[in-house]
Amino acid sequence: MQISARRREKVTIFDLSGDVDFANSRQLRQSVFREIQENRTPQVVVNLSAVGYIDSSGVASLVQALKASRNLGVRFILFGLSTPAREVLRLSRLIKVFEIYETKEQAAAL
Amino acid sequence: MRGPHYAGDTRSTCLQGRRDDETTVFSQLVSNSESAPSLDHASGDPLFPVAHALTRSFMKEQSSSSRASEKPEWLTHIETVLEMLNEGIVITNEDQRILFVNSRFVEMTGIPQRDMLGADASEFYSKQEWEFLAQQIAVVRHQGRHRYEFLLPQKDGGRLPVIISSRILQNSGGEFRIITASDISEQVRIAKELRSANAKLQERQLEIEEDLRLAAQVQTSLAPKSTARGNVTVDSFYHPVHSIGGDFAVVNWHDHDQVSVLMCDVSGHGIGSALVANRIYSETTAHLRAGVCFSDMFGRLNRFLIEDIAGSGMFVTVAAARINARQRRMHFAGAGHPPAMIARGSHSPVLLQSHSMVLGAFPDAEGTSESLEVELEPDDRVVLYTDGITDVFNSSGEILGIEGVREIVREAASLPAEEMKQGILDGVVAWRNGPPTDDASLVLVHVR
Repeated sequence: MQISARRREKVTIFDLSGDVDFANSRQLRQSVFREIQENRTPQVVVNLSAVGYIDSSGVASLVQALKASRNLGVRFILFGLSTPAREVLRLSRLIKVFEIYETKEQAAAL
Repeated sequence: MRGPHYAGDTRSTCLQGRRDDETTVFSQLVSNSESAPSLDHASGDPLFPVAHALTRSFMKEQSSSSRASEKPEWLTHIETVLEMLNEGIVITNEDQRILFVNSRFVEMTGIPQRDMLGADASEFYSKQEWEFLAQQIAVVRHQGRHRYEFLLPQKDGGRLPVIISSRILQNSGGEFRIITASDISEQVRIAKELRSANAKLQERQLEIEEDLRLAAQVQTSLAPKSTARGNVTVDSFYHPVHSIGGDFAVVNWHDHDQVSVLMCDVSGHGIGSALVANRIYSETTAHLRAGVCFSDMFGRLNRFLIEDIAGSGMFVTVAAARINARQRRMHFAGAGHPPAMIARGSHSPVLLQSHSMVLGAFPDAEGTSESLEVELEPDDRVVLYTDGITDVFNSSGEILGIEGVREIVREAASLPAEEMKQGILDGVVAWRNGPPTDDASLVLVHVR
């Protein structure tokens, strides 16, 4: 998994690519948590368009990030779900829990 | 260093004597000449042999002593610079006589400079040490330079670990060996500590492996055995990717025709997942035995995970089926779990989707579950599994996925019931490139 951050005034976008699995989900969690808990960025957006595979550990990291965001009043958004990312969120029945948009423009327009 | 070779005062006396070589030799020879009259008869001149020997010896010693203590001009010019270096510096001539030592080397050895200058370097070492050094000197002579670790003898009998860097210099018509000694005692101390820590880690690792072996035995003992009662046969497979994992299954027979099967997968794998899995195993088993309806069971599990294992960041997916073979009826419920399958003849298996979200993530997961009621037909085969079965990749990086497993199940359903489980597993292995990367579990229920 590759993870990079783009920061604007009140929004940070994390671009993920590759596979998000047990080996690297901790890195995802730490990166997003730092943005939410330390930087207190009002809006954190995760771009999943280039994710090839995401396992239950990766989903767990997204769930933890969402819960932490809710606790601190941060808006946590997913956008551009790749087919594997959408499938795993659908199977876990979590797809309706997250705020999800199709494109970066839709997510950024908020 | 041979103890006596440098034993402080002894050595000092020896070296002190060296500076008086000429006088000493002369006195000895004079003394010898007086007590060796037999030599006189050979020459016919009683004084000639003595004088001759005296002259030769004196000249020889004069030459040797001169060579031993004489500094080449180039060395005289750079002494001040060598004194300023942080490394110990020793310069010897081709006879291994010490021509120069800087104060850092004196500090490293504790041996006064006056005791070393002019001395034969071999005198400071034990026989074994000097044999080793002689080998290194040979290498230096052959290669022109050399670098090696050594324990430098100290005046108090200690040994200072150093890196010796040695070079041969041809100059002033002679050959000189320039030796640099770098104190590595701190590095050696750290390396020793690391070795010690590593040994402790290895010991701890063995303890952990033993613990894990026992844990694996316990967890394997929880895996359901393949059983058959009445018109129902249950086949199971469990394989943790590590010694222990987060998958488990429960099979609970209510009577000969009624059986409940539960498949559970804790997110992640390894020790953390296994601990959570073992913690909730007894909860789910108790619920199944008590005949708690699935929606209530999911709600209780969800609350338990959120309240009692809060902060673990883990969630659980569950698929549960209660089968009444006599009535050919099955109740099914899933929470964020890959769909169960009912294989029927050569048809594509029916998928039974989860209607609840994963458990342990959000409080509002409970109450959303719905139990499906499914009519079963003779020879139906119900397949429950975890994502370790679906999430395998071929050499092209393509995931097998639910549809891939569905096709494997369809093909395996043509096999006799007792061969179907292995048929499914073989199909998964045939797709998979490399070793498994996730815990994998499978339960197959055949309703005759």
